[in-house]
Amino acid sequence: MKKKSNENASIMASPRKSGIRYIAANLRRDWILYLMILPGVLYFIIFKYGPMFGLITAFQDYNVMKGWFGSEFVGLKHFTRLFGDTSFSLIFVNTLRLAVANIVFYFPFPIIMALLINEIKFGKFKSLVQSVIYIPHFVSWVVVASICTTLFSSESGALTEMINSLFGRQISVLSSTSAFVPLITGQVIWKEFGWGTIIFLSALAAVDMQLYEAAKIDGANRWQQTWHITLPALKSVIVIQLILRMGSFLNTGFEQIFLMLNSSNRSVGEVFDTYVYNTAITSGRISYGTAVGMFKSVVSLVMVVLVNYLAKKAGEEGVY
Amino acid sequence: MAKKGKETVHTGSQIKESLGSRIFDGFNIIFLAGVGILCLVPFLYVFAASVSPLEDIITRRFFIIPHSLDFTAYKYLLGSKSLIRSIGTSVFITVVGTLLSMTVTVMMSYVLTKPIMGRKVINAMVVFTMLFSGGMIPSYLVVSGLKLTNTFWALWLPGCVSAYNMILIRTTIKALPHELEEAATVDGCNYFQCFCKIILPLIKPTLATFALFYAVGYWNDYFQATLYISDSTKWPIQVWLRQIVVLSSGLADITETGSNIPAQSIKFSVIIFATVPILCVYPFIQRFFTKGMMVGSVKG
Repeated sequence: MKKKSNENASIMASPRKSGIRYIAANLRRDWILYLMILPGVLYFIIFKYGPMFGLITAFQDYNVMKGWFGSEFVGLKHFTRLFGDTSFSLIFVNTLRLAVANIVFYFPFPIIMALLINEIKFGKFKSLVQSVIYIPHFVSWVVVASICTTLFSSESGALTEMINSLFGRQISVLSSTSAFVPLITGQVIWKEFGWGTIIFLSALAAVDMQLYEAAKIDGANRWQQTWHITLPALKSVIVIQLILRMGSFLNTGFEQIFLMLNSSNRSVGEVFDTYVYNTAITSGRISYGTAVGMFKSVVSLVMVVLVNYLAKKAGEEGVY
Repeated sequence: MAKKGKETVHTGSQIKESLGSRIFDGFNIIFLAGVGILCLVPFLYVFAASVSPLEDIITRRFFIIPHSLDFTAYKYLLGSKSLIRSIGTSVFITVVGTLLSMTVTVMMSYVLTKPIMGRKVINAMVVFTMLFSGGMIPSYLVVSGLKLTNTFWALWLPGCVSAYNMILIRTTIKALPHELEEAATVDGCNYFQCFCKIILPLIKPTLATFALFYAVGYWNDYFQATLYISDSTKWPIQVWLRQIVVLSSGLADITETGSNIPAQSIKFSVIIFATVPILCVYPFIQRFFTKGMMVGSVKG
């Protein structure tokens, strides 16, 4: 390595008279490295930047036969149609409702749980709780949806009778419009809260124990210790998680919603992703579907940049 | 953990816990035990129902301890060709996909810790994909344009590398002491040999963790498979399960032999088949989680 860095230095030192020769020398020396990174770079170019280039579909009348290079450009036609579409506001409201429910009811959950787990004093019980609450994360959405069907289906659900007697009336959890948002949010909480604690617990593990010692000597009780030491230690992690969550604000767990949608709850359950799927794949309006998807991607990007900027302004570290 | 343990012993001898503090501890333990049980109850119910006769499922409704055992649904499913085939398909997709993803991801992470030309550009390129994406339809057009539909490549390639995983692995490799690799270089190892013989053995816990993440992703994938695989003989278990449970159109296929196994019982055992394999891997890798996750922070 030392020898290499000397070589490197000598190459660097020689003024870049001929860029080509410099590149050639570099390639000859490090060809193994370039070969090793090639598959990864190709992947990102083809499967990440390829689709980004493919967003031109949204400005075309895409023709499957002619492809991206033969289809006719139509400017903003699909976007104008999108903003005039009556279902647009419906989808927007549905997406927003789910996203807000997620932030309000799901987001604080892992933080609170991490704080409670952190207070457990028996190491064995602590790791047992952790192992158990991680389990639902490893189950697929199909399985979650299937279990929900067996529990709540109005004909044969195991819990249907209980719920009906609890609310005193017939409630079909899987198809009623009022149950949709609680159902989706509840599923997310059950499946992901345990996994969500990991990031906070590892931040808590890094807190200097001497801080607690000092606080105790100063007579701080446990609540004061939590408020003045533990929570400030979590602050930057919480902010980063919130920024990342904002970036995917409109990503309302496509697969999950896709699986829970049915004809009776579609009016509250149709979100951007499912609408894109339905317009483009099911009814074949490819360009229009792409435009809807692109609108969502752009809004997400703007959200991340904005929240990141605000976080930095407030003196927090951003994500980039 | 060790730190914490020491700390409690220490305080125990110094200050006596207040009553309120002990009451809180008691409630906390009961509450967390309850939460843990809530995480498990749905699985226990499905399992109990899958080994119970149909009368029990209908009359007892919700239960987690079976009264009498009845394995006909399992016996029936283990004799059904389409279930065995879809499990085999899922295992194949998961194993090959995980190997492929790990190889490409780890090599890329390693190279990006070296001062090569264009490193900054590649880094920026990767990070940008975390903020913006082409979306479902353009990705679909790329995959179908490459003629990958109805092949397993459509499941492996579009999500082959996760930018997030790649960055976390890169952080792990970066944190290793440079001297090890330098010594190997002096002994005549080239980069690839260093990578295989020095780096990989050192980051085994990280490798195990991320391999599990990829494996879970491949095993649990449903949407990619419905989007790209229309040939029902190539369906993974998740798609098959969906067909049976929710659409119940798959039932025609599995009950064609004229057996009297009710759809109810079969549903439960298929859920078990779709869940258990990935949960079997979990305990072996679980101890690596915090180790593997902690090394890299959320930031790139």
